[in-house]
Amino acid sequence: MGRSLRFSVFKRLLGRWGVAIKQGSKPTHYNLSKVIRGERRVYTIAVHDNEVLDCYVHKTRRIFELLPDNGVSDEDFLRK
Amino acid sequence: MKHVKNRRPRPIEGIDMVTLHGPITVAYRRVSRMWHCTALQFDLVGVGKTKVEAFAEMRDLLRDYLEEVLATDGPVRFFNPAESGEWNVRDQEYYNVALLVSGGESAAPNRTPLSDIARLRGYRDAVQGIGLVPAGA
Repeated sequence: MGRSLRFSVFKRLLGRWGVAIKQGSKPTHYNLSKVIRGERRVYTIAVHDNEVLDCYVHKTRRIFELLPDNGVSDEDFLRK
Repeated sequence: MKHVKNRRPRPIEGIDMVTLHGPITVAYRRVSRMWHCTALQFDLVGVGKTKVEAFAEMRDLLRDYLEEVLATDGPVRFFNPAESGEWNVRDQEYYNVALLVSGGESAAPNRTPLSDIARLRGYRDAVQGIGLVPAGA
């Protein structure tokens, strides 16, 4: 997909895919988490200027198994 | 101005520095005019206009990440290795994770292997801070 997303869109998408999001120690840091096959996965991203950079979008999708390799196409990910 | 470069930090009473044994690998890449600094064992990335800025953001994200996983009860995945291509980047540095732990010498075991980081969950209430120190320092 390789594109950045507005934070509000990213947050909404994560919510729909069952990924919890909470603010970290700084206003720009967010901890994401989801239980997958009985094990909690955690990932931490930075958000600047209300934008989630494409590297964070990709790595988030990878860690929470939301990539085409996991059966989630880019369209599916954005449409949900 | 007094020259203090080589002065050792004064120990803080009741606080121990616990260094995890086994470095994390930090890789730098230039991506469209920005620097990306990635902690490869965790796939955490800091982004900045300079390498220093990118490293500082990665370090802060890693701190948040470790605090979160140490605070998690039940099964948790500590390591999220970056994709194989990122491990081939030549511009790499190595750091050890250091924790400031209260409670005296009997608190957390020093030189805990990084791979056994889950053991430190038992000491999470005593962790006062998390940082990175250059490996071999």
